[in-house]
Amino acid sequence: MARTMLLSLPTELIQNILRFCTPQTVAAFSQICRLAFALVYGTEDQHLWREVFLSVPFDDLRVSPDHDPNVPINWKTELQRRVRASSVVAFTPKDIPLPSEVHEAVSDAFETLVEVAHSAIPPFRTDPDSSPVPSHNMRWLTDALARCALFYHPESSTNFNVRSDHLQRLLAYWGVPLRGVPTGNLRTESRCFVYDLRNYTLETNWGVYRETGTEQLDETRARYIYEANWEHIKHCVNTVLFGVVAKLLCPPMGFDFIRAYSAPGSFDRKPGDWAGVEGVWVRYVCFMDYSDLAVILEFNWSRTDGPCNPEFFSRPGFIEVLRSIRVEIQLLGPGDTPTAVVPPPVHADPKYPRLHFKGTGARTLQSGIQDDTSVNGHVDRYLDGTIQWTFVSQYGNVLWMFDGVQLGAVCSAAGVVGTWTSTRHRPGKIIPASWANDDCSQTSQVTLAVHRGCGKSIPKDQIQRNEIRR
Amino acid sequence: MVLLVTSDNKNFVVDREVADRSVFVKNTLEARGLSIATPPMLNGGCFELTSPFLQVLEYCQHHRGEPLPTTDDANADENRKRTTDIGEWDRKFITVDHEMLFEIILAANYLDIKPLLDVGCKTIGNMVKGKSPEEVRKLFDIVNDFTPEEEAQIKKENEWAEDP
Repeated sequence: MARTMLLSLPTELIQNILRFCTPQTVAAFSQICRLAFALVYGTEDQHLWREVFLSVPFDDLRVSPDHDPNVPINWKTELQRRVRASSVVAFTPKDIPLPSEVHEAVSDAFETLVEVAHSAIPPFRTDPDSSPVPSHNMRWLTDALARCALFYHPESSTNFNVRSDHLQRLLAYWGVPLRGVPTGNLRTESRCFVYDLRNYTLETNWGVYRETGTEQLDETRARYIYEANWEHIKHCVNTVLFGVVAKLLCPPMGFDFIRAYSAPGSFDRKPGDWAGVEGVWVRYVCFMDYSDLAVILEFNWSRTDGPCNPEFFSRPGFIEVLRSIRVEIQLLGPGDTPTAVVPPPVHADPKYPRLHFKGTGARTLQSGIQDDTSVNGHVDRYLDGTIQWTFVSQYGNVLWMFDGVQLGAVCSAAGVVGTWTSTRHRPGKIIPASWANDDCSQTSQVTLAVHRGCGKSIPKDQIQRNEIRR
Repeated sequence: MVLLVTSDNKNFVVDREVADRSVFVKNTLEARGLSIATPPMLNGGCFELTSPFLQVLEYCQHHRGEPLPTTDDANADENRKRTTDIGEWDRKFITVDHEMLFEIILAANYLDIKPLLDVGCKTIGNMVKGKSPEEVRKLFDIVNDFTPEEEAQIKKENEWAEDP
């Protein structure tokens, strides 16, 4: 009678065994002999790879927020990219110069981690009152980043020898000032970046962007196409969060709050309100005291090249203001849509038509006088998934423009972050050279608008479980 | 009581509650409206049946009356979280030689006793965990039949799982 051997078990039983194995073990198993190799790689069937993917565990891609049921999922490729990414980031040293040929691999790895964050399942499946569902993806991401020296030493970010927008993006999502990790001179570094007016030009769309090409509007006019600059966004997040932490406020920040539809009220959205526009928002606004122009000039024009003087921020005369403003926003119907706005850019995603909104905000001044503001704006979604928010707020006769992007996936509780600047550069969106050196002589201002800061949010014990563990 | 007959013609009389651990037996009994006999013809004669069957019976007796696993998604998800956890009693129970382990897996699969099947599969999973291909070959007495060229090719195919 023949002996029963491991490989004489029926295929489905061997696959059932591999279901309980880590991806690395499955890879090792495939290398023991031809039969084992054929069992793992010899089939186009995705069943085994799906099972191994799910048992890592990761959130099921079939219920991820952006899943298109018409596009088949390649579980094998997805799993391999993620496994690879986690070992690449773990093995990337933080202060040894890397050969240039690996920079792309490291950047790709961080890009994969960003995708893992974005494909996390929403915290509430059906009923907003049910207890939130933890995300395997966020757990995995947190573990992967805990092994990543490059990520875990945000205070040494200037020493990064890898320039990766994806890494910057993850740091922005994480919200370093709230994480209780050593931050060194990160606050000064971030202020130097966001308050430096050289970072606000036509090429940056006077905000947190960089230009990547041009689009022809008609025979004589063209305009830039922009993408989000996550290094800039990260510095905005840091600047506001350091201010917020100092005032013991706690906006929802961290990996659980960038999950799709984590914002309170995401389940009661109006039909068509794909971005979760309508509702009550809390904006945190941070800025330098712009009444003292001499101070601004000293910081911004103290040197003609190189960074602004970081000592500026530790001088006694330096004042940074933090305000929180409650804003009620309503979605505008097609009939109310304003006409005098620039059309969506060429890379806007047609599946998500531009939404227009208006709102009113109230802040209480030190004098106790209520100071009302009106807000008018719109939100676009681009093919790369970036969600861009733009609005103009009016204080009496003074106009300010906010321009920023969603932190994380659609309807994230973390909200929107960007900059708040003079509106006078507005026509400069059209390229003719005469506008190129537009005035941005008002100080730039940074604002973090936190999505509907009132109402339900994710319980604290769950947040802590997803904190970096070391 | 239920009479179970193995394919090598040994008879076992067991409580219905014990027999019902096997979804196969349970369904057969229910479908035929029987309460006496059912022959779980274990893959006719490929292996010695009585000894793995005794083990399986021991397992069923220990776990009698426990709720049978459901197949809904939430439960599957719950199982995944505990992928490699095995209970104390089960771990001792499944500490057997390789051949017996494989036969218990075959029997559990045939008799449709999912929790036992999972215990067996997890056990093998834990045995190969973290081992190199050469170590797995040694463990299960498997011959490396790759040519050197093939070996280079499969190494390349598995680069995704290697440290960079």
